[in-house]
This record gives sequence, C-alpha cells and structure tokens, in this order.
Amino acid sequence: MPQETELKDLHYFLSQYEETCPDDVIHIEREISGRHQVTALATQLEREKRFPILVFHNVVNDWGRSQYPLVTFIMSSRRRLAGLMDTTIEKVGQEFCRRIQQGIKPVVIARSKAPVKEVIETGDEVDLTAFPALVHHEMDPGPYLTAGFLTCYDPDTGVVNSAVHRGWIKGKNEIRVYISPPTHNFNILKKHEARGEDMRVAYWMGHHPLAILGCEAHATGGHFEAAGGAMGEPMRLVPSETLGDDFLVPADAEVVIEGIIPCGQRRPEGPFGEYTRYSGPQRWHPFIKVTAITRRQEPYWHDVMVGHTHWLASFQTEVGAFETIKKSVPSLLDVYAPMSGAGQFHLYLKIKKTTDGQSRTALLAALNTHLLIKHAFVFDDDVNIFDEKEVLLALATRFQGDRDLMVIKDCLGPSLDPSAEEAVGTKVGFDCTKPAPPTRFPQRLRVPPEVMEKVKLEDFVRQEQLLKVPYEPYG
Amino acid sequence: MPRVIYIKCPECDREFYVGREFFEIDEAYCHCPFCHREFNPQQAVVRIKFANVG
Repeated sequence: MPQETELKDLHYFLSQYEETCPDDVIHIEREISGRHQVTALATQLEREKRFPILVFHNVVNDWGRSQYPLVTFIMSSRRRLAGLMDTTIEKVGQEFCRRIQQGIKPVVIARSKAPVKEVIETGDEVDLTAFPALVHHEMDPGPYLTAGFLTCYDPDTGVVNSAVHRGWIKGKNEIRVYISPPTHNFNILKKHEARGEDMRVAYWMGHHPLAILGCEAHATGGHFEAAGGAMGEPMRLVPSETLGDDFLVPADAEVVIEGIIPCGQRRPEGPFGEYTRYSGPQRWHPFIKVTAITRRQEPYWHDVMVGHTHWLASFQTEVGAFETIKKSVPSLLDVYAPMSGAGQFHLYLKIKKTTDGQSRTALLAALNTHLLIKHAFVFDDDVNIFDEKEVLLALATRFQGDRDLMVIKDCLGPSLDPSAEEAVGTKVGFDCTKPAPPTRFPQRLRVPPEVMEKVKLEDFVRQEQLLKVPYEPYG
Repeated sequence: MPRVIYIKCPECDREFYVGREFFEIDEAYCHCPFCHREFNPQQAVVRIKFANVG
C-alpha cells in the first residue's frame, strides 16, 4: 500500500480525497495500453463532462508492463480544485491569487527524512522505461512525461526556476525536452551556454495538487514559495543526489529525475500534441542525460492529459490577469480563462462599469498580462462569464465590430499557436459592455420575478413525463 | 522560409512537420515519429504545404 504522511503530498491528497469523495476516484485494474488507450478513455470521459481522478494500476507501454500506478485527470476538475481551496468554481482564480500572494518560504530537510529519497538509483541503475509514461496522441513519437517541473538555477543570480516542460522519454537515461524561447528556463539555458557550461536540471513530478498549481504560478516570491502559499504550509526541499547540495528539489515529490543538459547540444524532439489541441512540429531542442532517479518505494506516475481539459495553466493566467487588471480597473469582478480558448488564449472579464473607458482599460491590461492571452473579452456584471451562451449572447448584442474591437498587431504571443508566425501574433480585445450610465441600453428579457417564483414546472409537468422528453444537446 | 515544413519520411512515406531550424542547421536530423527512422531533412521529400503557419 502507498505510504501516507501528514504533510501535503500526492499520497496524502489521494487517500484523503478518496475517503471524502469516493465516487470521484476511479481505480482501473484492468490492463490498458499506454499507447493512446488511456487518452481514448480520458477523451470519452471529457465528452461526458466528467473528470474523476483516474488511477491505472496495470499500464502496458512501449517497454512493457509498469509496476507503478499512473494517475491522471487530477487537475482536470475546476470543481475539485475549488473545493481544495474551500471556494467556488467562479471564485477559485481569485482565491488562488490570494494564496500565492501570501507565499510561504520553503524549508530544507535532511535526505533521511525525504520520502522522495526512499529509493535512489544512479549510473546503470537509472531506468526511465520502468515508469508508465504515455503516448498520448497519434503523432507523438514516444512516451512523454507531461507533469514534470523542470527545475534549474540561474547562474548569475542563483534564483531557482521550476516550470512544467514536456519531455520525451527516449530511453533508459535520456529525455528530449522542449524549452520554448520565451520561457525563463530557456533564458537560463542560454546563460549557461554563453558560459560554455552544461546545465544542471531536475524534473520533479507528483505532489499535492495545490503545490503543483502554486509552483506553476508566476509569483514574485518564487515558485516554491508560491507553492507553499497555495498549500498553506512550506514546501519541503532536499539536496539533490548528483547535482550538488546547493541544488534543491521537492522532498515530498513522487519522483525526481536529475541530470544535465549538455552545452550546445540538440536532438529532435516532437511532434507532440499540445495544449492548443494541435500537434506541434518536431523541434531541434536540448536533451537531458539523466544522472539519477530518486523516488518513493511505490510512486504514482502523475500524468497531465495535455490537449484536454486541465486547469493548470488557466489558473496561472487568471491569477496574473486578476492582479494586473484590478490595479487599473478596481471594479473588476471576475476573470475566467475558458477551455474553449485552450485554457490560455482567451480571457473573459466581468466588470461593474461605472464610467466609459473602463472596459477598454481592462482589455489593454488583460492583453498585456501574459503573452499567451490572444483575445480578451470584457462583459458587464449581469453576464455570467462562466456560461459561454451568455458570453456569446453579449458578443452578439452589445458589440459592434467597427466600434468595440481593439486590434494590436505584431505582439509576442504563444509559440505554439498554429495560426501565428513565429511567436509573433495579433492581440485582440472585444468590448462587449453596454455604455456606462447615465446612457440607457435596452432591457434584457425577463419574466417578472414574482411570476417566476409562483409558477413551478413540477406543478404543471410530472417529473416522469419530463424525463421522457428528448434532451436537446444544442438547445 | 515558412515556420513549419511538411516532410515525408523516406522509410515509411508518412508525413509529419518540423520546424524550419532543421533546414538552417547543418547537423540537424529528423526523427520519424511513426517508424523512428532518423534522416537528413535535406534528403527527404520536402513539401511546403503552407507558409507562415506553425
């Protein structure tokens, strides 16, 4: 049985969550192929709009049956993540923002106390093929790790950076890694290469979902401090095995993979099915020579179902946007990075508009929040921005293309956007708000509230009769 | 040169796409995601299907 601790980690989270929400965790004992089959199952659940945590105990991938369980869909339920922060689906972005602003500094513990050091494999013992890594989509060249935080240190400042980067497991001790140019890790790699140095790196994966969300955030205090804020307790760090005592990794992770990126060397990586819902092109990118794997006795292999619903990056987008926009438009009420925009390209804003110009100011701030935001939409406070029917109705009825569209060309944008040239694209703002008072605007249809209150459907149509009426999916 | 270039694997004849850096860096080689053949992109059948799209 997996070991439990009182500290927030993945084992603790899964055991606690399953105890309180047993219907929201599905264990699959039946053998399943890690090549496309797990993704096929996840895709069908996604179509059903159901996102239980999936624990696969018998994954057979390209290298055979793995003895370790695979867990996925942890980050796919906004409802579940909101519950972890004791808040609602609508307010979770703001609550997350509040938590990471109150960051908690990490602490360093002894190797002997670190769960991730229960097993230490170095040299010839290193074998990445033992893990149940998945081939997610058709054009992926092999098994990928998708929930790994690639960690490295800036050689000039000594500041640590830790961010999710995809990695193609190319054999027992090699990972081809995609480090796109706009990222901090890319800048740190270039600094190492300018010095003619190899770069020490570690992938860590599997932790409490709040630690994962916090670490992915772009917080001023640093990733580990933000993770502590999200969890409400310090992240515990421990020195690496092969990268030096000054290289710290999360002590409560499931798996840590240590290695070096050889200076200036590149190999093919990809194509890979990305968050954009498209396969990105093969790239000529760095690779990691793995020097050690440290792990728990019975680690969970955490997978993020890339290209499907997950809120890892969306929360990060919402946090940054809320903080930034609120400074210039204090009447900002909500922000939402919907899955229909791949979780990052679109941002919906809700404001209480009291004066003209507020909506455009909010759009400008939103588009400058994060380079991944392509299109920002601003709505009035009577629009439920979490309901895309409401959103599109407001676009249809409160927006005029010649008046309310803001187009900013040649901006740095998402490097994986299939419609953009290089990482340069166009940012667009859609002002879907009514004119500010005292200008009048036609009234939305409504039935008088007292009539809505009085007339009950069940008084006129029996429940069993209602259930026999065909459901209209596009009604 | 377009950002992304479609190429055809000389071994299995299947198509995939690569970044343009494969045509700008002498030592770069491609890896077919289907049959795993590694090959020089300059020697592959190259078909530019669309420009400026990545």
